[in-house]
Amino acid sequence: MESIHKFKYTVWNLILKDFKTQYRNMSLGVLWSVLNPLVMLGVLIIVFGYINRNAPQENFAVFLLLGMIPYNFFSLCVNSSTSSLINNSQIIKKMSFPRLIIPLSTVLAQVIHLIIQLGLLFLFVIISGIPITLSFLWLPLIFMVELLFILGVAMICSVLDVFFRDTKYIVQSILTVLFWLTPIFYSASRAHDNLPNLLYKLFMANPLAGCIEAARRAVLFNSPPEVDLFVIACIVTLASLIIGFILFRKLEKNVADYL
Amino acid sequence: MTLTEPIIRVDKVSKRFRLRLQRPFILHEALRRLLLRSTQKDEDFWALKDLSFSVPKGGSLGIVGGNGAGKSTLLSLLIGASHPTSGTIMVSGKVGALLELGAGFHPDLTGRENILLNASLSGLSQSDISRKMSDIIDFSELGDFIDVPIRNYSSGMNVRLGFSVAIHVDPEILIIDEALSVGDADFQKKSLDRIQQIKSNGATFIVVSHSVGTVESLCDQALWLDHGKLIMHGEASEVCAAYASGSFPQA
Repeated sequence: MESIHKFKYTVWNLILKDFKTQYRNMSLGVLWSVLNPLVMLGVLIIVFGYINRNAPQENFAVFLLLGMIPYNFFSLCVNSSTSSLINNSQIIKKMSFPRLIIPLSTVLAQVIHLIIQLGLLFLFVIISGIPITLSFLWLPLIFMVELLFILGVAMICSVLDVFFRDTKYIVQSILTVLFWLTPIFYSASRAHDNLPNLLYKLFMANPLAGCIEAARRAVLFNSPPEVDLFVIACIVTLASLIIGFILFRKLEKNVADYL
Repeated sequence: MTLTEPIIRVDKVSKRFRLRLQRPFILHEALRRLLLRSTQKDEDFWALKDLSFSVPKGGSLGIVGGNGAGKSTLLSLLIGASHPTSGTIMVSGKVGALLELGAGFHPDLTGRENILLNASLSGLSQSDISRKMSDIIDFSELGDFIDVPIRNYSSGMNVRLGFSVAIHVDPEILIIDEALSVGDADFQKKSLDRIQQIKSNGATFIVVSHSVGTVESLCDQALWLDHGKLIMHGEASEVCAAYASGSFPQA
């Protein structure tokens, strides 16, 4: 861990590298970070606000954004970190440094998108006339939990992908499944009402669901997270960090030989 | 107890690659291995076998050997990118390395951005890097190309940049792999002068080369590898003479 601290400046350079290489060849650059969710938001509003009117939410746009933003961030980070070690094979094979900084910086490089999209969220909050309350202070904590969960998953997926190249495709499938099984365009209370209790517990063991639910309570209902649900999300997050760290440490030694 | 403490000590080091296993592993292969476990063994390939040597602080070592001798494997073990299957390696000092073409560069980044990334990965601090940036650029002679993505570089430009970074990280151990042969004559001469200067400042130097001449002129010791085994280790001139004549010494 202290060696990671020593490489702080390297992590920063890797973040800049990811960022520059991601956008150097695009004319609209970082604007994509806003356009993508807007397109998705428009589609979801048309589908679930008009075509299939079974989610007559007040402030439906903000409700959707509070589901989409955490999911998008998760999906972006997990996708990019899964192939991060392979994409950086040039430096891994030729230099010695703690391999952990590769998935770490890949995830941190995506934080800019989260920030931009949160800006979009606040724009919609203001337009919708939702009062900004002290409950909004839960948001940094909620996104911190999500970030930690992502780091755990990133450590697991990145190192597995080196030894088992099918990982990438498995991850993509899981992300698609998660898009439907995470309360993005429906609310967790609907899952609560319509799922058997055991399945609902499983449903909420997904830290994304816990985070989205907590964020909606904070922004839309001016209330703190439901304690037991948020605690479950934190426990699963901690478990992902521990498993990820142990697995990564165990396998990182041989990463260069398999790239 | 020796008079000069070794800065590199390689002790009974072996490196095994499992040809069947060592490629990223695909599901149907995993199943096949499980089913055929009793009848098929992994094809082990020993890139290095029971290698021991040490390099004193300030010494210089040339490594010669044909293709597949294990030279590059040895270098990647020395810089710590890869780890030995058995045995131990001790390297005590900051390493500046140039392995093959363009050590650890990203093609989409400019030369300047690659310097930042590469030097910080080598363990240089932010202030060190900004202090040395202009020296690195000057030495590389890349001029305006320094702000062009390096995927547009020729292989010679790539090597000039890589070499320039490697020598500017104040290495206590400088490791160069073949690469120098790619630069033009002027740059080669300038590089050799700089290597001599770094050596005379007390740094340890290791070079891998096909060219016996390079090894003889730059190194006092040499190591001859063949199929992962140490054939000969001794005075550079003697090892090079034996290697050039292709005569295996009597064991």
